[in-house]
Amino acid sequence: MSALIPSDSGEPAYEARLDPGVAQLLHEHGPEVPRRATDVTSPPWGQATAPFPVIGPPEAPAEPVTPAEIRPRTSWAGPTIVIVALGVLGQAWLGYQGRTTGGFSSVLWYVTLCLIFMPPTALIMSGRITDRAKIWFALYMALALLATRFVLYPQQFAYHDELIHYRVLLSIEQTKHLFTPNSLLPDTADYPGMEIATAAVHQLTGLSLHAAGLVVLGAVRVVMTLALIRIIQMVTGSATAGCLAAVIYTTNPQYIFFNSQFSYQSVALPLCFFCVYVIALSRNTRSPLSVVPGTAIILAVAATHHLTSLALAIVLWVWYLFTRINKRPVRQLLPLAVASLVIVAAWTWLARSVIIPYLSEIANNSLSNITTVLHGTSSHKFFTDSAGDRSPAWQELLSLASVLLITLTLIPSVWLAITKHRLLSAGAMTLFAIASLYPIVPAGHLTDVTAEISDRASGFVFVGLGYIVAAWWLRNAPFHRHAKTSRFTVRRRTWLLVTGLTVCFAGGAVLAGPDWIDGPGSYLVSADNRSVDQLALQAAYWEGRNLPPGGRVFSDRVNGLLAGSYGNQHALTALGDKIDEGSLSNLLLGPSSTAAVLVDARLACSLGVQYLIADQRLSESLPHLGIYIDNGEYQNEKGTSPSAPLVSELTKFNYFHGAQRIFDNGAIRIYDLRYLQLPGGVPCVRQK
Amino acid sequence: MRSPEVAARLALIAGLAAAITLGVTVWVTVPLGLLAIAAVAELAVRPYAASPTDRLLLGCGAVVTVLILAGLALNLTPWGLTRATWTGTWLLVSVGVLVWRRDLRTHVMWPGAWMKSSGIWVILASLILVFAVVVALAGARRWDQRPALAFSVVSQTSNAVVLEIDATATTGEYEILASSDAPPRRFASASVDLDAGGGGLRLRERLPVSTSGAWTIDLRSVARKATVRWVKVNVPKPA
Repeated sequence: MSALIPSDSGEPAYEARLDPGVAQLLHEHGPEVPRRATDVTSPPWGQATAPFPVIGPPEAPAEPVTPAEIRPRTSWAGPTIVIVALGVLGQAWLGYQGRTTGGFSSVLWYVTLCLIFMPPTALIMSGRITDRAKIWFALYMALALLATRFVLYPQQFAYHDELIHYRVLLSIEQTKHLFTPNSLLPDTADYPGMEIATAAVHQLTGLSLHAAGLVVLGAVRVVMTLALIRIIQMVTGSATAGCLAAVIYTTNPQYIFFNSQFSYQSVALPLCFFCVYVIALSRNTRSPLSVVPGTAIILAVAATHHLTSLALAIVLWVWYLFTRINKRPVRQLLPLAVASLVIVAAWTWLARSVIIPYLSEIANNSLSNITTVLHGTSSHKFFTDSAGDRSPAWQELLSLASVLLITLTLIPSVWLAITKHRLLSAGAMTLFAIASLYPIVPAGHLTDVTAEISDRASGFVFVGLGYIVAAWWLRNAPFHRHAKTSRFTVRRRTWLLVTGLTVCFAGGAVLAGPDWIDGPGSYLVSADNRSVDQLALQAAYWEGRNLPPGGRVFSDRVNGLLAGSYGNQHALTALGDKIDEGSLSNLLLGPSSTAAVLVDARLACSLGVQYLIADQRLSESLPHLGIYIDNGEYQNEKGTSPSAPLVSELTKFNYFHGAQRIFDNGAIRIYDLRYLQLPGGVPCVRQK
Repeated sequence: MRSPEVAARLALIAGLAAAITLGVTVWVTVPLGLLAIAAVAELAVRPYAASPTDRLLLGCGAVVTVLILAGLALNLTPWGLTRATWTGTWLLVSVGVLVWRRDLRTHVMWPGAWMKSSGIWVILASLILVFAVVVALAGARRWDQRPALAFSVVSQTSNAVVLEIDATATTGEYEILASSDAPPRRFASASVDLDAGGGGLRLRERLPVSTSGAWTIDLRSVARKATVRWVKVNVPKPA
């Protein structure tokens, strides 16, 4: 069996092969073995050899190949293409059912998702198709998974982060300039990369803003998948390993939902991969101008997402550090690492007024959650949302199985990496370091806040995980020269791999959130996509048509988002307006006694609240996301067991002197509080 | 690059700019825009890409990166990110790429062998995907067509209040009743026949009011003899 190493021509010719005898020498003696004459300059990622020389299914003919050669050599390729499409159709049908009947079948959702995932994975790992076909199938699967989001929500953005970013996009369209403050989430205004690209596509093609956003998401999904494959291919020398790593990456809990949403990380993360790919591609160029593309992409990442740009800078520095340890420098890496640090620091400095409070709040909430866990006072329940809805047992088992499988796979993978550390290139060591962060992903689920953070980290962690597991699965080297190759391993059957990956994929989707997050269905209280229904949208569109733009609006989490986006209003938030959520939330959730309403009215006056949007359906249940409005709201402060607010509390301004009820659609009432009359006929004095 | 190719590329570049400027229908601008952007991106990255997948990767990545950086640059201009400035940027970048890559020649090849083996499956899958989009859009339309009835105040002066009824999939006879307690006043509108289909119906009613103060305005169903929606306004005193 021949080992594969990357070439050093500057082009991604991955097919340079070693003679079996030379490969064996490399396996046994590591990088000190003299290399081929063609491998005289620093290869990708500064490696000396293929770090984990891989074997597995027979490698297909190397590129370049003729069109005839790229023809899939299996009769299953065609049916696979159709089965994936049927999976997307199944998802569309589920969305249709969810909208028309209110019911959304979780079982069918997972089945159709697996229809998209399983056949291409099996085909890729079957060894029956060419490298190029493997890459196309990996890409097809990735795009089909993205398409499921489109067919479930084909006309508008419905998720929390999507609505926040839609507000930024609308601001660009309205003001023609960037950085207009966004009260929904202030830091998004300072990281408008995704919205710029969307606005450009909108202007250059005439597509609607929503459709333009989908085009951008499609483009970056292509970038993410192919860049990941190429990066892993550069490190391992195997397209199969690259494709397997890309497939493993799709099992991360964020892949189906968060990284498919119209949200800044969905664009920044692929650009981050792209940056690494471009740097690796231009590693041997001597011209100082070769740093320009890498620097440009770093700037684009910095303008798109704060934590991703920070992660990119860290990765570049870690990579550089490992090249120093390996004593095999990669040209241009140091200047780019320095550039990344400077750019990220400069951008963060410019956005410091919004980014520091935002990150501080996340850190504080996480610490507070961890403290409650350590003190044993946490009320967090696994697989149960805040309204008490529990996931079915099979989903719990699936997610536990996925975590267990990944952990069990990581043990021999890491062991192999440790025993073969002398063979690891700087790039491989960087990926190994990233993979070693995996335990934070399941551990983060001990609390609600850290679960969100750890899940987001999985977007990075699974890159390393994909590499290390793919390299382990496709290995051809024993753990050490006296060890049996099969130690700590199971027999490498393709069906076993595909089944395991499917379990991880479905389990990852379970970990992403409760069932209702999957798609449309009947209305649920404070459940993001399931709270954005026709009535909520009717109110938001009415605000956009009839209220002066930028009116100071206070409402619950979902109606506030809709008011801020489709309603073109300034939705008051604790983070954006530095208000005390505990007291302001009384306007909706506090008691309806005369004295209490009077206190609320004074507060509304002092904070300049112009409109209050009350959705009386909040009284139907506890919030599925744990809050009706925001962290620190009235229900949490009360210190008693939470209960849903009463309708009378939500509509307490019905008869308050000076308050006008200007909208009623049966569920949502909008109050005009601009002319409140305090006792004695004292008009409201506004401080804002 | 040969003259016919240069001419074709220039036509594509100028065609998109013209279509944007003239505000041509999206059925033309969308395919034209996506094709033109793809053609320019492919030409720009071709020397760095050894295979179609690399061209796709570098092209998509380059387009997104360039758009973001161009947007940041446009923000520094007094005009900002407008259709005109994006069109100008498009012309500048696309012509620049054409000049930069003037030595490259393009050979368009139809993937005949591949189409021969997988063409039917691809066509079948494409039809299924199109059907999926149709199903998704049908679901969204059905969702939009569920019954909804909103009653609201659109504007008010010292002698009139303009009310709006926004209904979807709702029928029936309704009337508007307005009442003021101090001094007691009542006003009833003529009955309104609502026949709102799935596309929705928006009606505006001007309600004359004779006195200032708080007015409660009900939307009543004649058949059910019940108030289904209500609003409350404070009519200001005449200036």
